[in-house]
Amino acid sequence: MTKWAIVADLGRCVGCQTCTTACRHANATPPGVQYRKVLDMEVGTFPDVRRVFVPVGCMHCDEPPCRDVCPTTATTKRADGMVMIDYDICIGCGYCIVACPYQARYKVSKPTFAFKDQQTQNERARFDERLLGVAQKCTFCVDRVDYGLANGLTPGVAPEATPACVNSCLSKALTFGDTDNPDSNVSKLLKRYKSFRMHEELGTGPNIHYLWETEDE
Amino acid sequence: MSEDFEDAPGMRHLGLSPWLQTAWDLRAAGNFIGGGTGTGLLIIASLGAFDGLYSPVLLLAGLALVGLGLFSVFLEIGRPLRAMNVLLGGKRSWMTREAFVAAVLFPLGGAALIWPDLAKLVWIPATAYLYCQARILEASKGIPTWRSPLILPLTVVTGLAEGAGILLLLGTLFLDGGAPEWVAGTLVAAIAGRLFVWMFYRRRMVGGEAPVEAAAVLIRFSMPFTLGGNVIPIAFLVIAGMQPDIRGAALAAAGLAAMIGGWAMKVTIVTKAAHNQGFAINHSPARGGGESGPGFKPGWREVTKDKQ
Repeated sequence: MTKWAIVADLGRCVGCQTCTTACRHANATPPGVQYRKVLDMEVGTFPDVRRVFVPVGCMHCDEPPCRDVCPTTATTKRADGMVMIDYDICIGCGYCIVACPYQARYKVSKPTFAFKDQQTQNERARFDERLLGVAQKCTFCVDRVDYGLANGLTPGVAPEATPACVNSCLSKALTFGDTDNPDSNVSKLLKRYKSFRMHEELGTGPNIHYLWETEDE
Repeated sequence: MSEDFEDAPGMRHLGLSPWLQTAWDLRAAGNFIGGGTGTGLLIIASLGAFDGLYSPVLLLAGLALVGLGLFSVFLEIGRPLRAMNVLLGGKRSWMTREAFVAAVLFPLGGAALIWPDLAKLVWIPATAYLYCQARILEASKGIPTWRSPLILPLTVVTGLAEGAGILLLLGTLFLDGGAPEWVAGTLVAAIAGRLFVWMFYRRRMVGGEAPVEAAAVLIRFSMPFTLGGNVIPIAFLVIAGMQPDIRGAALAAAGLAAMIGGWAMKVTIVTKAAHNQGFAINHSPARGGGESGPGFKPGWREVTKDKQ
């Protein structure tokens, strides 16, 4: 089996938001919609304060609450773990938005662009009316992954088959790969370093893993 | 956020701490209000049919309230022309199951208007509908005040209190001799149950199961709700028992207060104390040769490890 996941090395992430920009370019998301974003946290109290950058987005959960509540079956989970939305079935009830504990879903009711009514070339090229009035979220760049697999490429290794956010990461904080393959890039990272997953206590089985201790022992 | 995007629910993103969800607004709350009061009324009226209570007005009012609730939520969906797709997710979604039950409730309720004996069956789909509504909230894992297991009994018992309340109100207005006496007793029991569950629910939310801001909303709401929605109806019922001259008006006032109390509770939980989960990390990372640090859960009350 295959289970796609992202490993985010919190020690490496510098909060540059290049992944955010790359994602927005790849998906032409409207203002206010960020499938991938990087949180800027200040942790601790003076004088022991540290700054942590945390990439977040759809966690493509093992047990996605968004899928469980969807009354239309528009939200599904593929065999490779990706949680997808069928925009032609979704009615835009918003139930999945309130069911997601990662605030990863959005609903936009009318076309909005970065410069008001004026579309950029990219926004024009990638505008998809099907996304209006329905739920939308990160797809792990499923088109790139599927393209890569169809052409014998390894997602997470070959850039053509890897999500845009991971490709763009300038500090190599983000890694994409198959956690079911013990020899994959992500499996090796998770085996070697300490990691946690966000809100794991909710039983969702999120598939973004955060490395927090990457010093070799 | 610019005013250009104010009409786009679900888009707002406000930092690290849990923020108030905007995907479900008053229209969604309207479904829980109409559905809860309507099914509460239908359950009590239907069970009352075994005691000889039969009134087309009560049946019609109950069905109309449920219908209004469904219409209210219909106004919220982004693609109304696809509304029937809501019937596709019966395998997992309580929203679909609610729609299935509605497809039984309305024909049965309508038939009971023609064949009164069928009124004795209406409580079955009405109860199922009310249960589905409670499970809809409970399945919303992204909203801590909704996913609490206590939301289930709270929603059910509130529906019954609202149903008994509106029955007292409609009984005074439309039934000869008013509502049967046992309805007042039912209202007292439902209010007692609601208050009991509310106390535990509020305590758990304030105790760390909800974000600080959501808990603060519940704390602010608790006193007006306790007095206005629960104590005052009981006081009116006592007055109705002591002053026969104004009995009808006092019963109606008790019912109205109990019903509005339930509505206020639903509006508060669905639209005001509906903060999402926010973000959290279990550990701060070690950078370079430094050491790792503690986790961070902004917007939540710090609970000591042994209480978690």
